[in-house]
Amino acid sequence: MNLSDLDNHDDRYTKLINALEPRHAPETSMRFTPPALQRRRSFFSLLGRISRIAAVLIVGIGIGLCVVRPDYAIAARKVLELGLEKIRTSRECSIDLNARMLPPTAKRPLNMSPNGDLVPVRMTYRSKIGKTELQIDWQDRSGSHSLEINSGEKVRLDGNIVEEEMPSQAFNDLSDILFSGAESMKKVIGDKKIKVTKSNDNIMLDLVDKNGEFHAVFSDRSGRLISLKGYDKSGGTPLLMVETTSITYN
Amino acid sequence: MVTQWMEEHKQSLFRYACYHVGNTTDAEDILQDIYLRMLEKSADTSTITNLQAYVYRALINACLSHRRQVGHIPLSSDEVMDLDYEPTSFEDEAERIRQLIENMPEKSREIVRLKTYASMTFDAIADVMRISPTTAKRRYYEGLEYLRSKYDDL
Repeated sequence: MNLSDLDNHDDRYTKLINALEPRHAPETSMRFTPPALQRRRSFFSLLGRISRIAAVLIVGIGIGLCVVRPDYAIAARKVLELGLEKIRTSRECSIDLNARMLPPTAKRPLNMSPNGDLVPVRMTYRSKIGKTELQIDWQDRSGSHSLEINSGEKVRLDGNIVEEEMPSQAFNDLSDILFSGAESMKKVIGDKKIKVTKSNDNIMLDLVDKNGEFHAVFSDRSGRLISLKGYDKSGGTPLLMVETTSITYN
Repeated sequence: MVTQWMEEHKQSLFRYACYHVGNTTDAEDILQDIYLRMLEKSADTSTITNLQAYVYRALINACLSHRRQVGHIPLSSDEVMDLDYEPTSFEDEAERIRQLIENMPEKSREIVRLKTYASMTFDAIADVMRISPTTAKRRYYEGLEYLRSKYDDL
């Protein structure tokens, strides 16, 4: 191409340039604030987006499944894994819970059970580029424990490997679900009993089953996870199994 | 300095990232990630002479990396490739534009994106791409010409 011809070339490409021109360009309300000035930076800036809602929702569903449907252990693991992958780009998030825990076993390192004691649990996500870690610390009647799950790596309980490489195929198949928001979470576990409703500024997710219940409430405005509760109903009356007490991002 | 610059230019950065990765959520994630990484290296960034070029280089790399990780299923719809088609949503529009740009020679793609979505001059694009302004201009039009040749009705 002769450069001298270029100056008046826009006419020649008018239609093409027009087709490339953005007409629906979105604007962002995100703010760049240095971490030292941030108090709860990430719940607005990170969870204020639907993928963040979905990510925490997925992790919440994973926890909920562990609690109310122990037979869903594999599905719960995949669901948790999925949520972890999605929050890969966030830096650190801590969720404090009260959960009913029994001492861990090799098969069930995170051994939530109706027979356990309601104990404080802290879940911490740490995310670096290409790597996500979930650490769950708690203290049950057998002592203090720490479960570490690294994306694409091993699962360690109290420093010992309990599970080899985490399956990652699920991410590929389900990545579209992450982008389509909370409503599509039903597909993740294929359970029709999950109900997602919107009321005022909240998105409510409810899973009600004869064996248990799981409820999560998110703010539709800020994306903030407002509450997450799980109940076991195998004994008849609902027994509180897990409940968030605080969620913070750093 | 970094924070102020990012705040002042966030809409351009965001628009560029949106049309590159195709959705607003990931675009915000990418920008936030770049910002935090720059803060972590704030001692180094104080010596950067051209912050715009630096940030856009980081943004280009992050967007390309994101697309490699996420993958993308292209739309095969004819309407996407129909220049008379008027997208009614950002998603449709982003997909159509992405398809158009992907049909250009690789060397032209980022230049067209920077010109169209970041509204950059060829001088600024040259700084980002580390090429001369003349080369930037030539590649921009080469990209358009290549694409134009694909459409009989132009």
